[in-house]
Amino acid sequence: MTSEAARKILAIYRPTIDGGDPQFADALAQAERDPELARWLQEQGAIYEALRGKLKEAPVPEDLLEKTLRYRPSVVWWKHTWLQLAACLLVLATLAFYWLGRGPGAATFENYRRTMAGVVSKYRMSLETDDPDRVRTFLANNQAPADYVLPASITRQRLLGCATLSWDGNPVSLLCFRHQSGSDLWLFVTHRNELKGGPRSSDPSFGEANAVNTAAWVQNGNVYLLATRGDPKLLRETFQ
Amino acid sequence: MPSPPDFENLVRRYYRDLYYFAFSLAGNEAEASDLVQETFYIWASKGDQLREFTRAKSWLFTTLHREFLQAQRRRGRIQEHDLDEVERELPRVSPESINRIDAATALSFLARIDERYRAPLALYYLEDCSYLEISAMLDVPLGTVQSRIARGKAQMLEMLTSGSAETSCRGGASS
Repeated sequence: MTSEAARKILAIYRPTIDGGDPQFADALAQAERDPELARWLQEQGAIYEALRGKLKEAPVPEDLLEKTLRYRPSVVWWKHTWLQLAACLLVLATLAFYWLGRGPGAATFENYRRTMAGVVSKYRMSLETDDPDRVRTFLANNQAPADYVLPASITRQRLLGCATLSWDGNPVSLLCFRHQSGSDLWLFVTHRNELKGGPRSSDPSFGEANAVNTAAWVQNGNVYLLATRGDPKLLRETFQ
Repeated sequence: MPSPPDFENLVRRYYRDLYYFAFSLAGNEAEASDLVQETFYIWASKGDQLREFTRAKSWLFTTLHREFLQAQRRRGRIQEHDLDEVERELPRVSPESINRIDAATALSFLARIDERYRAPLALYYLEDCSYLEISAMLDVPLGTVQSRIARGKAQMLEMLTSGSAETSCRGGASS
């Protein structure tokens, strides 16, 4: 092997990592025979280590660790056998409860609205980002509704992130926005459009539950529920 | 049977490495942070079959890279090229000139490398992976990985040369 050929092979050689890699053996042997090549190799190794050390000193966002730990999804409990059994029993008990003593309107829109109004004070964001594409993909990957259409006035607000929920066995997507007024806006989307007493058209109906103001409408099989703790006028203005 | 890696331990152990990798791909802090969070989220949702830290690590890097590529495809930013550049000599850089550059600048140089070379080059500099491991993580043939690293390294050293030259010029002007 010529020194020129060895130099090409050794251009990516890392002294601390590639020492045992046989593809470099001949080229390293050539470096032992050629002092100039050996000097070059030593210099390249020093450059590699200096650059590697420098890159590993780069700053990392201070809150990244805390955010990553905070938005951990719930434990994948259904993969544990004993929990599967417990879950089956719970499902059977729940079915029996509903079958035998189902109260009027358990799956009503009013029930859904009240539950979602309660969610806004205790949900955890699954993904924090202002990238709408990333939110949509995340929701789709997690089997939550991702075929939503946002009113233009909502798309102009600052997206904060999203979460996935479940209500009455149906997945619900939650998108979080910060309105330009400073109030938070929460948009719940579910595919279920058979809710008793729910909205019937794309014209929003306004209401209030648990001190949370809401607007609800349906579009293409999705039920949309927009909620805020801010001024109710804010919701009405959204649809003007 | 060993228990799967604990989520918190895994995050604490690898979030920095993953962030550097994500930043070198995305080139900005916000997207890099999103990629890291999303990768750990996917792990917590799906990765519980992994029993060892070592396998979890390569899974995390592979997943982050895949997530990045998917996001690029959605935005129509993915570029597929043939490698048709000629082999070049490595530019001359001294370790001292690297020490004059701050770490954030060095990382930003990595993020400005040609898109094809960025991921293998980041793993080359930041991780203790063999070329075979890099090839498996990125799902790219071994020979291609090595030539991309060689070309990316040449670009990186060129940037460092011009970057350190700028630093020297600024230093000279102010003194």
